[in-house]
Amino acid sequence: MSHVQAESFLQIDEADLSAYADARAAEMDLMIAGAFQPSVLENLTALHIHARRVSAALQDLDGSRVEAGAR
Amino acid sequence: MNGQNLHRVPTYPSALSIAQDVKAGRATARSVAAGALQRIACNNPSLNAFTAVFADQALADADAVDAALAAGRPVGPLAGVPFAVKNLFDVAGVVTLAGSKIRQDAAPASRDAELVARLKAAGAILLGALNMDEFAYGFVTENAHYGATRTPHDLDRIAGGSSGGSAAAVAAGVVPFSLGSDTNGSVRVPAALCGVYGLKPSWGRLSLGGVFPFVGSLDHAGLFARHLEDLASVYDAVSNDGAFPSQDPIAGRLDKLASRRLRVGMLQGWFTQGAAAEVLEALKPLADALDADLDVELPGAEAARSAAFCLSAYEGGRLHLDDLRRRAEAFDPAVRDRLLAGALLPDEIAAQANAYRRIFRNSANALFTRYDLLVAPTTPCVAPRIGEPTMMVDGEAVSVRKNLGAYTQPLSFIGLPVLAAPLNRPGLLPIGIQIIGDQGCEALTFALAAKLEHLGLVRAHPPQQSQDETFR
Repeated sequence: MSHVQAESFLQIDEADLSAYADARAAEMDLMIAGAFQPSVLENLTALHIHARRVSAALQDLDGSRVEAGAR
Repeated sequence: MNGQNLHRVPTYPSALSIAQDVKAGRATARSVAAGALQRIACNNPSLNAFTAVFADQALADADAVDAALAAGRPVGPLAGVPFAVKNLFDVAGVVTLAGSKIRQDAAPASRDAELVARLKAAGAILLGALNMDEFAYGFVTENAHYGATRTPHDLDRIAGGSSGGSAAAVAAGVVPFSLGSDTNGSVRVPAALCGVYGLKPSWGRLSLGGVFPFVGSLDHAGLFARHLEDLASVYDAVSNDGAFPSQDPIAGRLDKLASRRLRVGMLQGWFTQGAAAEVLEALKPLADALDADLDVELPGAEAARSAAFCLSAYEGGRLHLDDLRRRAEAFDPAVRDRLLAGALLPDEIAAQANAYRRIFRNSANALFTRYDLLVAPTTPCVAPRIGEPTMMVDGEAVSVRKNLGAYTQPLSFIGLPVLAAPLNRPGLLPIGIQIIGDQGCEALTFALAAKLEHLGLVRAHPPQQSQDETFR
């Protein structure tokens, strides 16, 4: 899990975010077990959606540039 | 209503008229400060706006202003005017809480924050520190440690956040102006829900020296006032336009500014998506009155909001990482869980958000070649009820805490100046608009606000339960 890249985070299925959170928390020396976990996971899921939206917008822009260059 | 009421207090004039009265000898700074302290004592149990009151120091500072006047020494433009600050501004000798319990054990600040020092140099009298969301992370000011701050317009409803105490104290007429901060909307959202003016100038325009940080590239200091002229005067007194005080003051030329012909675009798309029918209806008279273009889009706003959302969580998580590791249970749970999630993000997500910022900035630049100013609602709805976790957006229940700033986040993401103005709705729950300028164009935002005030479309109103008593 060390050196997590944006690409790998973005490619995780929502169903696997819990496993990601556990591994990443261990790497970061953070405790998110017990009562914290559902809410942290809910927030991480929201961040995952937002991060994917930004990634998609950047990719769309890259696509537009390529298209413009081809024209 | 919750059975509480705002106490009836004597009429409460503008900051400028207070300063004029003090300078002319019609009132002493001490009597003004004592009156304001009495208003805090009467109203704060209902509002929960103040977390600390500096009564002795305030009276001593007021005496110093009176002594200077008696000795014929010069006093500043805000002589004897009471004010208060969000409790993330350093005040010498006071612990800067930033809305947290964790910082209760921190050392007191050794000096005043730069803006506090400038206001004191201008003769203003600091009365106290104001409630906020913990570490400025939220739009509600429902603080687990210090309680919820209430909008004076309905004490069952939130003041908004994160500078909720700053907006509520001004809206209730307790102080004529206050300081807050705005990272994602934390001046504009509470200004809207409390029905007062708020200013989030261009990024970097107001000093953040001595202000507890949240997200370095998004943090802005900001102001609240009930009168537009007061907002301008305070801005003139503290802004960084290369000189202090300002060499190009706005306050004295509001009437002239209001007569300018302005090209205005009404933002649609993301900025009206999910807005309550009441909000959309309230905006309609603006477009007609201003001959503004409708259906103006700011492309990329939704992704910009997402990028700001990610960046805030990431940087907030990194800033508080040590405390999250050592004493996570001491945080406000709602804030802690957002910070923990942010701390789990890889660095590249922040890099991606920053890359998008440059693109979105270009998108805004293109619009400002066609328009001097843009206008958008500040929030999708009126103030939600205290304790209400969700609100309806497009038929879907979404978190109030995270989504009240959906329309404000894209704008602070690229550091644009925004003046938040209250629509003229006497007797109704407040609805606010954002007047958005290009970088460095604060004066134009004031110009449009003044024009709208002349047209009777924006105005701060007293809370109904204290009408004709608190405000004048």
